[in-house]
Amino acid sequence: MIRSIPPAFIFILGAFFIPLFRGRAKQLYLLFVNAFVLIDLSLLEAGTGWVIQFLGYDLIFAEVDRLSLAIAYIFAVIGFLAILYSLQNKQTGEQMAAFLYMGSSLGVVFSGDYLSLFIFWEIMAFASVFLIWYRREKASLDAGFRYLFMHIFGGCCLLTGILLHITSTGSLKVEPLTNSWSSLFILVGFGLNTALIPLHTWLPDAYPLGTITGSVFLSIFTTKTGVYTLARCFSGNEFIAIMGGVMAVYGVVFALLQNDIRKLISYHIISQVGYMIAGIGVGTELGVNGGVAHLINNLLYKTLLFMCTGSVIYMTGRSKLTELGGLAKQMPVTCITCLVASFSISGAPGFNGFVSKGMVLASVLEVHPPFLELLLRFASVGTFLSFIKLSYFTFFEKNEKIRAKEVPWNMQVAMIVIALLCILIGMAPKVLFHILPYASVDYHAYTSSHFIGVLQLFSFAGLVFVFAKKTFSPHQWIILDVDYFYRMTLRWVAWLCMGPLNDLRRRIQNSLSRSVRFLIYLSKDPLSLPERSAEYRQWNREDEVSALESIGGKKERRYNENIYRKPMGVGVLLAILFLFFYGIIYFLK
Amino acid sequence: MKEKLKKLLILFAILSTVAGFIGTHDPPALGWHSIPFMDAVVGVIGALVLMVLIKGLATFLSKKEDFYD
Repeated sequence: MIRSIPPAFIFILGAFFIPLFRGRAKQLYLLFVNAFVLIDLSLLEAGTGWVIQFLGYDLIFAEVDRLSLAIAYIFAVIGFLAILYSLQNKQTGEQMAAFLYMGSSLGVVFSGDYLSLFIFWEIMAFASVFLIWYRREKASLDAGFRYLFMHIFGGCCLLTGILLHITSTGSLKVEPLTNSWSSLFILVGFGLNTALIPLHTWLPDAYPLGTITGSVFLSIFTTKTGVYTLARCFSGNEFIAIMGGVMAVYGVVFALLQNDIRKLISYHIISQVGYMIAGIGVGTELGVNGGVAHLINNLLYKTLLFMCTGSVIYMTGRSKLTELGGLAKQMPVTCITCLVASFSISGAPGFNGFVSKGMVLASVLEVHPPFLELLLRFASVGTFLSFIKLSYFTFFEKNEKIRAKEVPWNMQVAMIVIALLCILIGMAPKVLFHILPYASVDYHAYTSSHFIGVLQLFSFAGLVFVFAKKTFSPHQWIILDVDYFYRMTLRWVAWLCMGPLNDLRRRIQNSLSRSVRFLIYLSKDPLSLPERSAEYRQWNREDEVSALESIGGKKERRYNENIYRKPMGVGVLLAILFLFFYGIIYFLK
Repeated sequence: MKEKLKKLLILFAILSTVAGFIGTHDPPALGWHSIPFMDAVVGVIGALVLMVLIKGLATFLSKKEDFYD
């Protein structure tokens, strides 16, 4: 029987062989490794495997159950399509970073203990930042550093939480957490990757500045591993559920204000993650299934949206809605697939978002007050409006200046396959239900009230857009987010460090240096200390300058270092001899 | 294009509102779920609230693109 290995290792090891290949061979190698991971996943058996003892703890690299398998399958499938999309990319370093990123994400998914989870978590953070830096622009470099600092902060919180958890429970096993200090720190660590508000700022800051293919990878893994870990450890947490509703609304409001197409989609990641964690926070079987189903669907249409916007930027060199328009006829495949993704994310009937959003809303109605349902419905309206805005101003608004052609075949194939998957799940949701964590849950997506309700919501919201299009028109601006406070606080901290605190440091250093210089001066001739003390006492009675001169003069006249070297040397020699003989006596005895 | 889109949306709006009255309903979890055109109301009010919200936020939060530079 063939024993499968943790898929994380295949990607991580595979990354180091990428530089050995060139041209077509490299493209085939990248696809082959992905295909190998898919085969490996199909061989993984449920249960705990690949356990390694470390410092008395069990490190578990393959904790396989329905939840981890569902996430891993979608990661591997989307990863394969993202690699297919990025075959034009010639940057070996970026491809290595993408492999390490994919591998470590799968590592997080299959980790059965917090220590190995933390290690993969950090590899994810450090590998993914290269997908931003490889754009090789100053803005990307700066955004990459901000991304890294935020993730290092999250990693520190996670590690603190893990250490507190080990101290209090003695266990490293990844399991549902109860309210305690350790769970608070772990929640901040997981929450930063999940882009919980106000820890979300790295996402709309960094994702739009990644490379064209890098942003596609970024949109797949970081937030989704965060959601996965919340599902593992914080399922049924009311704070998470309410935070989900807040995120859903916050994301769409800020998305509607954006001019950069990838920034608009980045804010929608926050909004969509809100739906996922609302379901997970509800914590019922339907809620967790809904959250995970929405995660899977979101991976499909969000990746597709990043591919479509990446294609637009790749072919036109423009990313602002104010500079785009009229691309529907010039890039028909990109336009149609973008429309499919837009309908999917909006939750239109016939597309995958319709199914999973319905599940989340149904689960919220089971447990929570109407407030959360209203937030999620409100977010649905905003999502629909955002994507009318994105599609309209990118593809249908008149723009005579822009000339573009369709993207290469491999990019088109990747987009078409994902679009078809969105429609397939929308039309036949049982395909999705089969892989969800709770197989027993019975949910019917296409009830007449759900179907009619969504049509009403979209048609009336769409009419408002048509009649008030000017309000939703893009503008050449940036919108300040919470990161404004972070940046201003850090600027203030930098000023405090470089100004007053640095001045204080210099003063303390000078006074200490004076004391040290004086001690050095005294230590050169310690035998004269009583005599000096007497002379200092004399200062009180005599002129200070003349006293100093007299001390200096005496020092020059009297001090001779060699006078003290000889007795010290004799003393050290005697000590060594004593130790030597003591050693001989000790061992002979 | 814009006119066609407008006509299509008006058609959908009318059809979906009528369908709301004649279609079958799931057992209502909350009071307002029994109103046949409730989602239409949420759609309109939601879009209007969003319009006001983004207008207000844009007034306070919009800055030039080189603001942080």
